[in-house]
Amino acid sequence: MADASPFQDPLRFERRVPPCAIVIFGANGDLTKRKLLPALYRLAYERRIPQSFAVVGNSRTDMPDDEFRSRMKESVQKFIEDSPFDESVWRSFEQSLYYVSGDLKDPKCYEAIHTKLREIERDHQTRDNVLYYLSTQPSYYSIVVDCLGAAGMHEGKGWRRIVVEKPFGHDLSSAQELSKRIHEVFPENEVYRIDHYLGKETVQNILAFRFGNGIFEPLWNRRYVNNVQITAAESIGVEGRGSYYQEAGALRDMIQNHLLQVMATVTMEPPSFFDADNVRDERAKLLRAVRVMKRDEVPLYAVSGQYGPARVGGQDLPGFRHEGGVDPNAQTDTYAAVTFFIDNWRWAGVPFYIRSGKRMPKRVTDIAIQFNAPPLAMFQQETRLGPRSPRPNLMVLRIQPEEGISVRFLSKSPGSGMRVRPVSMDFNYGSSFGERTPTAYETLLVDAMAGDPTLYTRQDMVEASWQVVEPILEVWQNTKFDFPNYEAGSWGPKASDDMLNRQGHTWRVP
Amino acid sequence: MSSGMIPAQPEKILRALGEVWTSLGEEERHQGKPTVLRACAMTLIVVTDEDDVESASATQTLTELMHAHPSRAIVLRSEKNAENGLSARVFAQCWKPFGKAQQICCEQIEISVHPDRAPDVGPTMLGIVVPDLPVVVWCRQCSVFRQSSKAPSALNSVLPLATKIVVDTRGSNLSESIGVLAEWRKQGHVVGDLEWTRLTAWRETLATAFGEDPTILQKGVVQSAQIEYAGESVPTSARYMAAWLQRGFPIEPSFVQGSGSGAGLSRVTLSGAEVLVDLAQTGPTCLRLQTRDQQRRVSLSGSSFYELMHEELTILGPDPIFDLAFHRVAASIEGQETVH
Repeated sequence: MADASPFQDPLRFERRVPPCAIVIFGANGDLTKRKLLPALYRLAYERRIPQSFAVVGNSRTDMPDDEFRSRMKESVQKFIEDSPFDESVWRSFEQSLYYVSGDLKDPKCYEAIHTKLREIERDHQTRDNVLYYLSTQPSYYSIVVDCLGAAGMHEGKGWRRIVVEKPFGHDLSSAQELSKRIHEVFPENEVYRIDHYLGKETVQNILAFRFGNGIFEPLWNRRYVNNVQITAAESIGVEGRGSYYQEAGALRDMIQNHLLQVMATVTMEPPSFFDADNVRDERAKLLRAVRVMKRDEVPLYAVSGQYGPARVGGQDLPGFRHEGGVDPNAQTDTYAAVTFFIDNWRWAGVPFYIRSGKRMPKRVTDIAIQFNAPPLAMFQQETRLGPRSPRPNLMVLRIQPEEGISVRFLSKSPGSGMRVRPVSMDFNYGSSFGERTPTAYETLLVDAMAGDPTLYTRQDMVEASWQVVEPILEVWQNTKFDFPNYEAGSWGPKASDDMLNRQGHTWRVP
Repeated sequence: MSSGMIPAQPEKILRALGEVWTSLGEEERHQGKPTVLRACAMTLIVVTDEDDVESASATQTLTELMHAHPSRAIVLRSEKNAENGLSARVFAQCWKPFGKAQQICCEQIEISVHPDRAPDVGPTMLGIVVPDLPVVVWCRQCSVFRQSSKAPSALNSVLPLATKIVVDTRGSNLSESIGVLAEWRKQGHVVGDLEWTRLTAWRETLATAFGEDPTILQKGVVQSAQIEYAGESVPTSARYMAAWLQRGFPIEPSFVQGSGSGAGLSRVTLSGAEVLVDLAQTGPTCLRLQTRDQQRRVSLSGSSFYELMHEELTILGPDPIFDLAFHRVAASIEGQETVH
């Protein structure tokens, strides 16, 4: 956290990376290549990384530092977002990249990393500050933490922190068990559970939008809000992650973590002060207020789906069960839609519809807040099918791809007669702030190195969100679904539409 | 996409702007998809005159600033040979963000005004600032610190509209320039001084050094502070630096004239029995930090007008750290004048 030095100037000073080393376990994996290294390179490009900084990659593959650097260069060139690649910046940055191969179960691997860290501290003056990043398969998390503890690498002259990628367990008890194992070595304030959705600029902007403006908050409650729809749709399928995904599914992969965190951000009470503890306390409080379904309510409030083959845009798309590495009889949910209720005074009775799916018509993540209709329908709205009662006001917070905020309201149609039609007032994040926005991983990595956990999830938040999805998981686990039940390129199964219809609502088309 | 010279009347300027957008919209209709995004987050007024030898580069700076701070940019140039006394030209500044297909376009208006017509500028500006958005005035007229703030000038006619006024006191008479800034602040304007902005890299490096060795901040550890400058007299930046250091060290920094070329701050040295923090400019874009434990080089980025203005435009409200430093400098000047 920012210190209380009289010389700090948060309005003008960039949050910078302090002297430290990052050890990435799973450095040959997709996450490192696609997200972590491009983010670190971009920070170097912006000169936010000090000279006293180094990265140690670890995986089983044996390779010298030079080969690791060369592989990482390829990845950065390929995956860097909205940014050019600068050869001279890379040449300087790559001098801080090192590689140590080794099996994560082998104590010798940790000895080798420990030795490398001591060399790095001598050569780069990293002040013995170390951030461990678990980018391995989740089954290795406890093993790595145990081994770090056994090797005495969890303490030193400088600070130690550990970043844990999702999933944090595969259910409540495994999440608690993982947490217990981690806490045997690292105290909670050194554990950074990353949920990259919280690092997205537009998710952070929700807080600014809600608590920085006076005009929206009075509307932000059950008196004015009719329902809220949160959609996270991907147009792609499992893209080579079939074997992982069939164990996870959309509910675990997206809703239990990212989307419940987004929902908490949209619905939490204002913190009394904007700091890590207060913000996370409010998020946690909200998650604890989410109603936990009874087993017999699950079929009414949760829908599972799996995509089948389809021809989209002249291209044949395989069904999930035909994807590589997927069991031909898999019962995995590639689509999940859930109706949540929040049992507090602000939100009692307002349904929160959350859906996430693969192979949807387009990639989009947004939050649509539908307001109540006016008490008297004085005007008719023009539609293709003739005049109808007007559609209520809608506010859409767009997370991706075109980040921004839209408000739909009614306006008189030009001409004689009093017909109204919906118009949209748009704020586009990109055009109002022409600057490139940092990726979520850039933000979150700097935060972890700077010791600011505001955008990281806490154990109580993780447990609360497992608690609300667990009954659904249990029921689905014991149900034999008639999959596939939606075509690739569609907005999901009919049962999902039915779920909303029962409440008198319909899914909007994002 | 640009209009010819038109009389600088609000309705004519706004009509010309409308035509610019209609014409950009035509292109869009031909392409059959949205290709242009209109962007505006503020009105940015650049006040300049014939003495502003770098006015061409200022216009270039404005173009660069549009990317991060899309604005209705108004260049108000006071010149003795202004056509028709008061005339305007409007056009759109467009660019394509990296990796995007859609252009982002901002409006730019250039107004030239004969000094005798300065009082007429106010009503024109009042009609063409973007409603409900901040108005930032970047004053590039060095003469502003030499003349009475009440004399009629193009600048005086736009000041009442300003949310924030940005000036550069480098090279100006310290007591006169601080006096003008203090007057504006008294009138309720937020004021930014690029001489303060130039210190950000210095201050950030020092703050980082203090953070890395917190013993420096302990009472009595730093016993002296010396601020070295280039140029003939103590620049405003050196005064600001002294005032900022006094936030944490109850000592009176001394000023020393150095041998460096140019103007501005060249070195800051804090010392005591147990500590040394020495930050010196060693090149046009390089600082060297020397402490008891280490020596490192730091890039002195942020010294171009683009970088300085970019930083100032991100802070449109109060800036408490600057306010305090400014208050200290103003008080010390006032004290000196009282003594004399």
